[in-house]
Amino acid sequence: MLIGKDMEILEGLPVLYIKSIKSLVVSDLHLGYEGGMIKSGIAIPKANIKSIMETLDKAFDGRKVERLIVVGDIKNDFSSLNVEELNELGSITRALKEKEVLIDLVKGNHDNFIDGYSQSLGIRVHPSVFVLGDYLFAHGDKQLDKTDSPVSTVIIGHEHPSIGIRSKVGTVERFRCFLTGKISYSGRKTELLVLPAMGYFETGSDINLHNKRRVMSPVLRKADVDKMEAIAVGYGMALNFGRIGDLRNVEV
Amino acid sequence: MAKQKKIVRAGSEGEIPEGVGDLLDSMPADQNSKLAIYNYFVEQQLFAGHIPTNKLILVEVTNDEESGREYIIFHSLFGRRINDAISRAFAASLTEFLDMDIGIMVNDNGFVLIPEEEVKLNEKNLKKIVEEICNVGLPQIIRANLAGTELMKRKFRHVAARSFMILRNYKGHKISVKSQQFNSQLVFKAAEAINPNFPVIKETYREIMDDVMDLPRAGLVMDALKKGEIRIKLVKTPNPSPFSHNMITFGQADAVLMKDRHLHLQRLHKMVMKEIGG
Repeated sequence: MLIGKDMEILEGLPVLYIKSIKSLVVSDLHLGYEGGMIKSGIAIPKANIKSIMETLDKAFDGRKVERLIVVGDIKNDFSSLNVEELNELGSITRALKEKEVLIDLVKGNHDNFIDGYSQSLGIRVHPSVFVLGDYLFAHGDKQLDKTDSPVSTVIIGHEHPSIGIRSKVGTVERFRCFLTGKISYSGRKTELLVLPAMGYFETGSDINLHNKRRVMSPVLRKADVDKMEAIAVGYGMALNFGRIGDLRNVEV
Repeated sequence: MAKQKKIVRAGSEGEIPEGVGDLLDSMPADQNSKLAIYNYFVEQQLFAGHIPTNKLILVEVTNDEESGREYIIFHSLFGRRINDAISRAFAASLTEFLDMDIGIMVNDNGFVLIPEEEVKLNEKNLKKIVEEICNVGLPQIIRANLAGTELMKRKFRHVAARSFMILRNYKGHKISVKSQQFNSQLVFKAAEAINPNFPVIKETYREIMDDVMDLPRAGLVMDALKKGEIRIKLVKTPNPSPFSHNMITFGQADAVLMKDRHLHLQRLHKMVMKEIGG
């Protein structure tokens, strides 16, 4: 599904492709998630890295990609960079190196202690924002830092958005979704795009079922979530479900 | 008692079985309780025209006044363990035919199917559904439709805790059932991605099919239905009949979901767009 002329949401995947800068953009991989859970007493077998690799393979298929941009939270543990994370980061970066793809990481709140390994892993780490072409990439856990370069679109992660559709049968179906809308950045109206989480276990928080004030990202809090549109991805499709405000009381 | 019996006979051709009055008289209950039980049967007889027995499953198609939704109520008196199994089989074949999700409620005396939209059901296509279930096999149908149900999620939590994949206690503090449930769903997602026959998942299916449900006997009921030893009778009522009130208010609720997820998402999208006028 195309957004504007330049951006494309890959059908069914939580991945954005930007043609002009030949980049794939993803968010919230949370590598090493299972390792952290095992430490706190929950024996989760590994599934995250496999699913991410498969998704990336599908995303690369038939496209010219020079760069993978991760808008934060490539790893999971706050307090260290542990062995599981390092192993998984290694296998992803190796695979991308074979494809001759550059990796840019905008630091998220989970990405502590990664700077020391950036060289050996071959990841370019940007501390707060990263501007490429018309686009500004940030994680979205803090207010956006100002830049001098003019930007047309702000792309963030952090929120793990999904929409929940209540059915009359009594179930809630949840789909990861992109959010598109507008915010003012550096005094100008700018497009805002929020990416869904790529991590296998981060199914997301139902934006349309939660109170507006419970939105995590301060960037998103400034934009009116109710006016943003949700584009659900999954099962090989990307479908525009319309404005979040309209989805609040829907029961089908 | 004798007096009441006469009244019923006069009213509706006496389908209340012979000797009920005498049977009730032999029970260790006081007169008022006996009268209440008797009247309960009389009300059902007068309202629906039939009383379900071990040889008759009464299927009642009715509407909920408040929500205006259709209820398909199966009065099948075989106990919760059997009803749980056959309700899921009926719901599964209906979702297949109609491409919609179906809610179910189960208790000892029957089960309720709640389709998303009105369904045109008659005795002929009920018969067809029974045959289809017998042909495919009850265990196969149930196994294929357990994924994603509340029952599966809950039982997986029990099994995962028993096999120490999630812990009920950790470093001296109790872990709440809510977070156990959340954690077990993460474990399930991961285990399923590795192998759908992951031991803990396999054990969950076993527990559901052998302990929660009574599949062998549910199979016997289905066979008897197919052979005609147990009859199915369909009636339409304007409101739920007296026998079904308990089922609707206190049944265990679950839902059987459409299996084709791709189609499901498309359908949801279409319905949401209709709802919000987009």
